[in-house]
Amino acid sequence: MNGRFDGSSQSGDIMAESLLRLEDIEVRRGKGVVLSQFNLEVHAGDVLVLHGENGSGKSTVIETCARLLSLENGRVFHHGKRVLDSEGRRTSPPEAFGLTLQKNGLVGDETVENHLKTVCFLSEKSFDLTEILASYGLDHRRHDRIAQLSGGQMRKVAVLAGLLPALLTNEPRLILLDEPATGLDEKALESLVNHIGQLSTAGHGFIVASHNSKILECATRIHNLKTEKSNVPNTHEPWKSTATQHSTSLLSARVGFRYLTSTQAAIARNGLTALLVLGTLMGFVDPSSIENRSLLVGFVLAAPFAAGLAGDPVLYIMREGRAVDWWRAQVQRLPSSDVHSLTIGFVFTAIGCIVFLDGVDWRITALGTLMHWVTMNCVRFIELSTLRLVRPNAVFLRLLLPILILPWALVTDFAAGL
Amino acid sequence: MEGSYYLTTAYLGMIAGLAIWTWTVVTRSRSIELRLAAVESTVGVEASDADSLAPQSINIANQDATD
Amino acid sequence: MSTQVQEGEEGVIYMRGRVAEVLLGAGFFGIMATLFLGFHWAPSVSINAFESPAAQRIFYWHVPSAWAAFIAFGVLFVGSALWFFKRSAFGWRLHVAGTEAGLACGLMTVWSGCVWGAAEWGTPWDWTDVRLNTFGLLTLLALFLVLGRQSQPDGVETRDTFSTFGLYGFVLVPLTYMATRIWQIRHPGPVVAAGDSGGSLESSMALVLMIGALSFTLFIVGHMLISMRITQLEQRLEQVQNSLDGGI
Repeated sequence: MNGRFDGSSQSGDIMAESLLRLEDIEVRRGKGVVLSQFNLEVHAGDVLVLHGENGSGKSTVIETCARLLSLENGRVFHHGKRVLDSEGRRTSPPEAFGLTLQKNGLVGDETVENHLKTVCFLSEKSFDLTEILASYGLDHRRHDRIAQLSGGQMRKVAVLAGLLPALLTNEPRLILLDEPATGLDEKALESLVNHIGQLSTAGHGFIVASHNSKILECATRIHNLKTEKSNVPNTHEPWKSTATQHSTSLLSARVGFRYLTSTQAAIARNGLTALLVLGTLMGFVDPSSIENRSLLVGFVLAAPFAAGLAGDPVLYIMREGRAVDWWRAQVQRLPSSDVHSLTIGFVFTAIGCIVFLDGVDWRITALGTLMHWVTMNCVRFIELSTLRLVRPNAVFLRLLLPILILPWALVTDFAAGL
Repeated sequence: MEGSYYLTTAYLGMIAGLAIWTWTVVTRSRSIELRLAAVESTVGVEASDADSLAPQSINIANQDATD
Repeated sequence: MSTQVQEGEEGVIYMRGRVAEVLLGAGFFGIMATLFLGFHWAPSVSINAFESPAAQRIFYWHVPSAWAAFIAFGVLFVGSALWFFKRSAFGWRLHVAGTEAGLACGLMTVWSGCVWGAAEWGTPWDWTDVRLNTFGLLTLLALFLVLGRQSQPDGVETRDTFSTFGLYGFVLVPLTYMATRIWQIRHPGPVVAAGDSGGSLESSMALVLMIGALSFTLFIVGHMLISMRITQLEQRLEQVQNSLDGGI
């Protein structure tokens, strides 16, 4: 697809702020070039609706804007700052932006309220969600887990999460919505159209991929990835945000902690693996009959090492519904299981010391804790490296894990000398 | 005697490896040539468009090899 | 070599096929000659130097196959880099050929090494021996790349991801090569390219190893050329089939 559009609907002497600029973009997916020499600019107040046939590249434009795809050529700018280019640079956007993917990007174990609050925290804001949830018919569901919702209700949560960065501030924000109307009931669709109108009047910029006629009525520009035409939308009162400032540090670690606390996935995956290894060793090995300290230390460190090989449970949780892509667009470091991994590493190494070495050796316990954390993060790194594949679950990742055995064999040798 | 046993095991394994590898590659090569010839004769396709994924790389390969 | 360049021209593809088969045949003849010379011409080692002197003759294929594996991993690296940085389809064919040849030669090396280890050390594998482990990892990487590629539809995402792993993995090649020079834990030190310390091989043994290395090199180059031709033909077949489907 070729497209060269450098203007916007804004005219007059005062040019509105540029929220997004795509310059000379080329994107390949599978065996085809989906976008080629594609240029686009969205200013404050624009509602650009991408309206084309299936497979024409609408989602590719949205995902390119969200920094989710690799570029063969070109650059992506948010608020005038380069956030992605074909040389591989990928930096944080200067301002939070809203994103609703075609798949919802939600973690089923989160509650509706917790997910939306997290979106608020990404914008460093706090906001009373009651009214907004009511307008989408979700107020009675705010404390429910997302997995308990119907498909349409999940879509509402995903759309709300996409709109929130703009609802939280009176400063212009970029909102990217991929097929937001799909699955919404009449009332929710009316609320969405209303919000798009109010927010664009307040100066926020939208890119929406949609075929829905009501969404098309909100557009200031309609773009079919080849040509573009202007449109005059209905007038709306501008949105006034009532959100307050709320800064949250270590958000990724906190979100990871919350995911694992609500699902117990760290215990189910890593903890049980360590327990099985420890139990098996205890069943077959009589420590009192072994003189070789290296071997005993090896038995102690086997459980945290095996638990690390089970991988990062947060990544496992986030694989559902493209949640990992939603998070990748929003933050530089994905939610992690640092707290749980350090705890599991510590506990199982300490138990191993008691069983095999007749008492806790703090230096070996510290090494075991570190071993678990490093191993888990190496597995996480390898898993993240394959997420771009069409079938990431079909690759034989475990074949690469023996790379971790040699370093830890040397660490075990070192630990035995302590 | 025991050394000869290890020696035989090692060489038999390697000979089997070489044989399986070569057999697989040659069979795949023949099979794909036959399939391609059959499909091409059906549609009468020109053989000139060998790589649809990155046609520009043909130029790069040409340059590389002629250097 | 200009006959190999004009990719896409039917005659050239088949010309490469003949070159490949000649190289394959010459390599195979040399490999068999190495085996014969290793058994009937090269002298036996001193009984005192090895626990299992007879098993030492494993080296006449073990060392050349390791050498061939290094060449294949080098091709894999160059191919990965050409695809990743230049989007070269030729580079992708090199990547595919390098992984398959690396896997075959790597497995032969690891297998023969394990059997020799069992005879000489009393254990087929030692987790603390750096060269053994890094070489094993390279072979596992090649297996990962071969199986992984078969599990995915061909496309830019597949090629980018596996090329990245090919680039990461190449770090292991110099590490493996230098391993016995830096940390000689159990593995024998270098015997052919030993530098100042001098090789410990008798000249006839060295000659057999050289013939073996040359033969294995010819053999895997022939294999890699055939593999590249297969990849090219597979791509063309898919393109023709797409045109039959009314697609691209």
